[in-house]
Amino acid sequence: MRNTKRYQSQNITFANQLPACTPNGCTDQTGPERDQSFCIQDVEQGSLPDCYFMAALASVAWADPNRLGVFATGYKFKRDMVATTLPDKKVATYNGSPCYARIGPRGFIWPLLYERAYAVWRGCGNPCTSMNCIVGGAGMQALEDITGYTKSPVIQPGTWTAATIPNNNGFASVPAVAWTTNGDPGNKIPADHTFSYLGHYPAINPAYVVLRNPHGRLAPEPSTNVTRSDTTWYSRAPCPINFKNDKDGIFALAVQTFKSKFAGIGYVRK
Amino acid sequence: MLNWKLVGNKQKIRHLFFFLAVVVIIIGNGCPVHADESSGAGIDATISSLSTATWDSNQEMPAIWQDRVVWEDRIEMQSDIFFYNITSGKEQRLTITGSAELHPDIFADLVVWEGWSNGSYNIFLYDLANDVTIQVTDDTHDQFNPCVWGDIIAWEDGGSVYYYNVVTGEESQASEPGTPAGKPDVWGNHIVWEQWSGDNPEIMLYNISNRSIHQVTSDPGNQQYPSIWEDRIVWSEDKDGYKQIMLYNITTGNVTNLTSDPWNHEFPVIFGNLVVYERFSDISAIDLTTSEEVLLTEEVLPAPDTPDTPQIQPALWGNRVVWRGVSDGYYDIFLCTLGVSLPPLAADFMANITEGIPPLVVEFTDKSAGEVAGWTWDFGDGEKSHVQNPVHTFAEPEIYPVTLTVHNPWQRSAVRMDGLITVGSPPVPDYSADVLCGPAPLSVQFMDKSNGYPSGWHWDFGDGGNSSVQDPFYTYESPGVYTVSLLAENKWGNGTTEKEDYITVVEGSSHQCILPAEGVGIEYTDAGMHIVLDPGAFGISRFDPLEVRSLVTGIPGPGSGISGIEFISGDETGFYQSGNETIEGNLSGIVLISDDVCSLNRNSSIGLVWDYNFSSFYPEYPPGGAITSTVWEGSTPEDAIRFEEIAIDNHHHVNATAITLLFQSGNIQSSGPATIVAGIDSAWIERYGWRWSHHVDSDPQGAMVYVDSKLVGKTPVDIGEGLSPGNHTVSLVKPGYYGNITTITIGDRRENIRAIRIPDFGEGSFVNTSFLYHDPVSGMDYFRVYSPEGLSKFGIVSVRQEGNIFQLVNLVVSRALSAGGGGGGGGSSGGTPGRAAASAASPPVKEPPGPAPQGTVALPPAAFEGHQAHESTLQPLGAGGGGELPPATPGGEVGSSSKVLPIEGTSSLIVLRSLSLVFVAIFVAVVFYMRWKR
Repeated sequence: MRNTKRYQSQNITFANQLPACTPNGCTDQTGPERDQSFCIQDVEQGSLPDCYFMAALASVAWADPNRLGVFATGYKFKRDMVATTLPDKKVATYNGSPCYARIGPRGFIWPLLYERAYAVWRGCGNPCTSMNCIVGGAGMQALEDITGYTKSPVIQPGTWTAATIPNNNGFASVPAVAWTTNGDPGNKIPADHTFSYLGHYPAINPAYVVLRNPHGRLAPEPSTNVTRSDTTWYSRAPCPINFKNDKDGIFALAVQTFKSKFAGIGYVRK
Repeated sequence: MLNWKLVGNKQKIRHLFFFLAVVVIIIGNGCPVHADESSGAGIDATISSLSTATWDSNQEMPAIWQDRVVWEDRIEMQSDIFFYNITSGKEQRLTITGSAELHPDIFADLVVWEGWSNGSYNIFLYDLANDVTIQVTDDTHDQFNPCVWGDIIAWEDGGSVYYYNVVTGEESQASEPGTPAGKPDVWGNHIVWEQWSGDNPEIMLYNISNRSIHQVTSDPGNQQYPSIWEDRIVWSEDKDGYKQIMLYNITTGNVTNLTSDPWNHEFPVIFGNLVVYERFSDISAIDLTTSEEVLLTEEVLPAPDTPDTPQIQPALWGNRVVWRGVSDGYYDIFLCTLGVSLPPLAADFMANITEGIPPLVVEFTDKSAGEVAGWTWDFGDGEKSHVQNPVHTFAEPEIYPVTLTVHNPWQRSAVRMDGLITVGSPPVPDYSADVLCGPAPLSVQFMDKSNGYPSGWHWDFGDGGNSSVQDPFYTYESPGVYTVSLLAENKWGNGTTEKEDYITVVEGSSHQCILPAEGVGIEYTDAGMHIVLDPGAFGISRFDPLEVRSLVTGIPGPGSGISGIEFISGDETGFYQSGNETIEGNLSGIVLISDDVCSLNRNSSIGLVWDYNFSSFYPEYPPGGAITSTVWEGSTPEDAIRFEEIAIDNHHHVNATAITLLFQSGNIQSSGPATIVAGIDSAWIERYGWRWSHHVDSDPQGAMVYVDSKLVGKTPVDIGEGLSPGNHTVSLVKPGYYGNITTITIGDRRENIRAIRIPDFGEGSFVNTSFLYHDPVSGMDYFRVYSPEGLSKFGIVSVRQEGNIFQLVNLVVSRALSAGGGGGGGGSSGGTPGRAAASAASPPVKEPPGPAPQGTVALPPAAFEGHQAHESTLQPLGAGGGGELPPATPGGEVGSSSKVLPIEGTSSLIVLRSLSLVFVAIFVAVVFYMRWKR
């Protein structure tokens, strides 16, 4: 059954009531894996403290969606394939809700399946009842697990320049993550949290880096004084983003704030 | 075998250019030799080396088609196929595999050879028109000696002859199964080969059109190396003790002796009416129309040829004969063009300047002798030119060789001038060191990596030491961070490179364990090491032959650094007491237990306090063997990077490093499994140890947060500091909103203390680390580190992870504007069981009793972040229930935990509103009654 809820950049509807979801699970027969139209907005962290994985997954969907290891028969991590154990791609539920990631605004559940496969790959049994093996981690390692690429060295945010992360006019051309140690909770930058690094604002003198909290629509977004009129920083169908929308987890952060509040940046490449 | 390949590469001609006339001989790069003066043979011919621009490799096995020549270029066991166009002077390398490509043949755009692939030789095809390589065969058999004509490739495979049509893709066997056959040659629809019947090889002919086989020869003589052109086949045959060249006409069936003199004549190739062959290591030719024979390499090429320089492997096309000769001690390919008389071609050039600083512009002038049709300059910097007198700019400091190759359609010559151009500049110093950090004294081997050919070096090691040698070995005696600089100089000037804080020397504390030699006797038997312990010299603390024969515990004397050695015997006899009161037995290993090693600052407040001991297994007892352990606070920058890389590989980050432990062995083999017990100052762990952070937020912010009934602040706020490990109750209160109460679990920072191992070789890893106990007297926390891979370098670190369980923040709450209530709105979807973190489930939310003060509304349960993301927690007040009483103060004021909290709830609102409605109804009724009365 194809989900009829479609993503709209300025008016995202909360699709927590998927028609395909029942107390026995959710199904997604016609997700973006059919045409590889993965969107970063599809990825939303749920109840599990695995921000590092969800941020990494979102980063790959952002910068290198073709590298996502989503296949008809399963999900690939490095060189290993985790078979899709249920033909209809059911997602286990707990009290009627998916026990892992949240379902994004487009209603697709591939991130949930991906997350479950990751748990299986990391050695979990039944993911809904034994989730410890993916609780907490390192975003850079998750990037490597997802893509099979090679990790960059850890980059100190204090050394950030516009050329630190390979990019195309500011748009990160490699999957990248940034993480905090202490963060700045007062400004909605949680501690020990991982963000997807999307790029830097393509001004002549870049003043902002663009990040995404993997909690997506439920994420707090730090205050910013971005006043540019072109509010749509990157418009790529079907997944345009808008960092002035404070309900998608995507935000532009002043470089100086980024340098002082974040603990590390890293990326993967071939 | 090689010579047979030549036959396979036999070239053909449609028109004979073989003239007996006055001979003017051109030799390779050099001087003309008039054959008529030396031999009187009298032919016009020009001879030149083709592989002329090679000075350190061998070129062999030439084949020719029209003006196209291929050969193999061999360096030791590797060879590659090269192509040369005689007319254009273009040379092209066709293979770059690092393995062997051999025996090329060419026809038009097709080049074939045998190449090593997947454990066997296979046939490969290169299409010159499209620059693509195709593997024709791909099996475990060896395929050899390919030859090509038109669309047909023939080869030898396991004693049979096969052929392949490149157009149809069809592969067929030509020779009869079961009869050894090989060395094929192909022309048109005919394939010839030699076929062995017992010890007697015969010549066979195969017609591809009708797939028929015809036996050409049938006498007892050995007939070998056939070559075919149109309806004529030539081969060599044993006659009267010599090999002679024979000719067979397919049409007439006539057989003709072409040679008869008492020399060996072998490996003939035929093209039209011309046959060339080897004649006792010289190349000879015979004109079938006149039966005249000319010894090319004696009569035409007398000067370079000697009995020690065999001229072999001839191939032929038209008036061009190619073969393998010798030049400057290496094999080269030679070309003889019959009927052409040219002066010698000799490459030469000069440069207007040969030395200078970059960019160095050099004008080259061609000084070659002879008729030059084209030039190829190789400037040694990757750049080439084809103009006669180029001007080239050398951009980088370097010493460059320059090579000029000149050619015309009959000759080729090259000259290389090694080290001709020197582009100099002041050196750009650079260097490396084999170790960048470590405990004092630290010995460092520096290595010069400067560019620009420095001739002098001046090192400053940053601690007052210096050196003038190129690669100094230097020892830092004192801890510190040192900046190293190198000044390098040459005649062009000098340059300096300084690397700030390049060497880090830390304050290390070392401890040495030495296995005593006294009191221990060693014998090697068939059962392995037999050990004899003398209790008089080697203290024995435990030996009970009646109960445990397999174990003896010894205590070396003071100063060994060892608190005990366990000797282990694995055989049935075990240890036993000898007549002289010694204890002996076959040893299967020892466990060395070190003394306790403590930091010296235990009674001071300066620096980190630590102590440790270790035990490790060794399969033998090496008397005098030593293990040195060195410990220092924190980590060197180099180790810090390794620790972090290893931590990330294990989904962690390093928060801080307490100590680094380095174990080094001397005269003892690598240890087996080892255990380290390390004590770390509890204050350090409290400061640098990590646990899940607890960040509490709400939307709207400003809600009061109580932990165990104590106010800790307003949202957003971090909680956890000062809280003991275990469960704590957290309450959230904001006037006008529902409240929330939940239970969190504060983790123990000691759970995230790990040991990371850096081995001498290979990748590092986390090793099993467990908290043992806290010693309140010393203020130390003790950990056990178990390393199955043995001793190496370890970092005792605090690790952290990304993944705050309370990071699910900003749960939108709704102000309770209207009556609602009922139902459970909160709860958790499961939390994170099994992790030292929060207990996820919230207590059930109940309807608050009693009336609520005006203007106070309780927070819904989900307002407290850290709840698991269950959608129901996001329901606004109207859809969910109320909340348990939070410890809040009236009117939103911050109060202490002892204050009585206001009663809040939707039921009170309902009552108030109902009462108001009743009052209004009564009031309206009274008003209407009064008006009615009027």
